[in-house]
Amino acid sequence: MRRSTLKKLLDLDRRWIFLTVLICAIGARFVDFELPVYPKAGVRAMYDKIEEVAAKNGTIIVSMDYDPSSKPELEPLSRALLRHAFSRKVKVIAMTHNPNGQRLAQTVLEETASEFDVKYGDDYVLLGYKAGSGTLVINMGQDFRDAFSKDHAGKDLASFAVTRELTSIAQIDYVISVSASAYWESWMIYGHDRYGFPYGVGVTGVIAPDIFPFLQTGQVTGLVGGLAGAAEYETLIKKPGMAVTGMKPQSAIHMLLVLFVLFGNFVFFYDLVLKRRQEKGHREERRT
Amino acid sequence: MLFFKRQLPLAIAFFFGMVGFFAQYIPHHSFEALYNELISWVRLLYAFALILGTYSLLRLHSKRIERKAPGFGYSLVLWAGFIATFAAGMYNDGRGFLAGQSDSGMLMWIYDYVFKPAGATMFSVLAFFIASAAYRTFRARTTAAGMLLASAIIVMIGRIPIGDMISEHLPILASWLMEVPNAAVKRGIFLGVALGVVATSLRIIFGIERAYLGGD
Repeated sequence: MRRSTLKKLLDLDRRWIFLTVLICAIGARFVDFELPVYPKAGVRAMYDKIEEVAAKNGTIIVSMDYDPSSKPELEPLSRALLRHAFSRKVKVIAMTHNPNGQRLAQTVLEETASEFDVKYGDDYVLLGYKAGSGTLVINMGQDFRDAFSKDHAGKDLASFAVTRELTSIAQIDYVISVSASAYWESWMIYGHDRYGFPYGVGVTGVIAPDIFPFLQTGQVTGLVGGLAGAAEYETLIKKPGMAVTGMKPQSAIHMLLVLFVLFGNFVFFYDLVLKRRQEKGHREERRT
Repeated sequence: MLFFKRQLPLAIAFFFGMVGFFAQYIPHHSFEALYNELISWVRLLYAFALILGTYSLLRLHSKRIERKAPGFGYSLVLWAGFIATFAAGMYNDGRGFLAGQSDSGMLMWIYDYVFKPAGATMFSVLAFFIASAAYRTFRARTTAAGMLLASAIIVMIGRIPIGDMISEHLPILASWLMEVPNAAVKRGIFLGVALGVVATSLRIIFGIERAYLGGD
C-alpha cells in the first residue's frame, strides 16, 4: 500500500465515519439476532434488595435525577425498577433533584403505575423537584415534612398512606438514585452516611466507574451502570423492554468503535513503518 | 464601602463556616436547631442563585446582541426562547403563576416537543463524535497509551452482551479492570479531592482565599 493511500485513510472525511455509525445503529435494529444478557453482581444486589423490601412490605425512594439529555440511557432503568417495585407491592416515593427531571419522572411513574393495580397516595407518591440537592437530603433526614410538606401537585403529604407516618428518610427501606450527574453523591454523603438507609445507584455508563469504590465499601448496595445494566435488570424481572432492545445497536456500535480504533492504529503504524523505510532509502541514496 | 465589600463578607464566611463546623461535633440541641435552620437558609440561597444565574446569562447575551458579536443570532434565539418559556410558565395554562404547575399547556408543550428532543439529540450526537475521535486520535504511541487502549477495548467489549458471546473470560477481565485498577485509582482521586475541599474550605473560612469576593 502506498503512503498517499494511507494518508487518505488517516485523513478520512469524518462524514464517512458518521455514516458508518448511522448505518450500523439502524441496521442492528432490523437484523434479527439474540444477545445473551447475564446480570452482574451489582445489578443482582439491587434486585435482591428490592425483594428484601417487598418481603417486609416496605417503602423505597426512587430519585430520578436526570434530564432529557440522559433519558435514553436512564429511563429504561427507572421503568424496570418501578415495574419491579409495583409488581412486588413495594411502596414508592418518587422525586427528582434535577429541575428538568420532574416531567420525565411523572411520565415514567404514571405510565408504569397504569400497568399495575396500584393507586396514587396508597402505593406511590411523586414529590417532584425541590432545590438544594445535598442540603435537601439533610433536611429530609432531619424533618421530612419540613423538606416536603406537599406532593408535586400541591396536595398535603399527610393525606397519603405512603407518607403519613414518615418523619425522616432514615425510615425508608431503600433509596435509589437514578442519576446522570453528581446527584448520586449527595444521596450518599448527606443521606446514607448520615441516616444509614440502604442506598443503591443507577447511573450512566460514563459515571459507573466512579461508584465501584463505594460498592466495595458497602456504602452503595446495588449498582446499575448504563443501558447494559438496565438490560440486565430487565432480564432479572423477566420483562425485556427498551434496554434489552437497545443492546443490539449498542453492541454493534461498541464493536464498530473497537474496529475503528484497531484499524486507525494499524494504518497509523503501517504509515510509520513506510515513512521510516522511505527515510532510510533517502539516507542511503545520499551516501551513494 | 470597603466594609461591605471585604470585611462583612469575610466575617459572614468565618462565622457561618465555624458554626457549620462545630455543629458537626457538638451534640447539643441548640446547635442542632441552629444547624437545621442554616440548612433551610442554604436551600433558599439555591433559589436566589437560580435568579442570579438567569440574570447573568441574559445580561451576557444582551451585550453580545448590542455589540453584534459573531454568532449573536444564537443570543437572539436564547432571548426568544427565554421570553416564550417564561411567558408560558407565568400563564401556566390559564391558572396563573401562583397556582401549582399545570400538567398541560404551552410550557409542557415546549418541554415535550422542544426541550426533550433537543436534549436527546445532543446526547445521541456524542456517539458520532466518539466514533470519529476513536478513529482519528486514539493511538498507542507510547506503552502507557497502549495499555490504556488495550484496557479500553477489553472494557468496551466486556461490558456488553456480545462480550459473553466472544469469550466468557472477557466480562471477567473487564470486571477485574473496573473493580481493581480503576477502583484503586478512583480511591486515590477521591481522597485527594476530599483533602483539597477541606483545605479550600479552611482557606475560605479564615479569609485566606478571597477570590469569591470578586476583583473590585
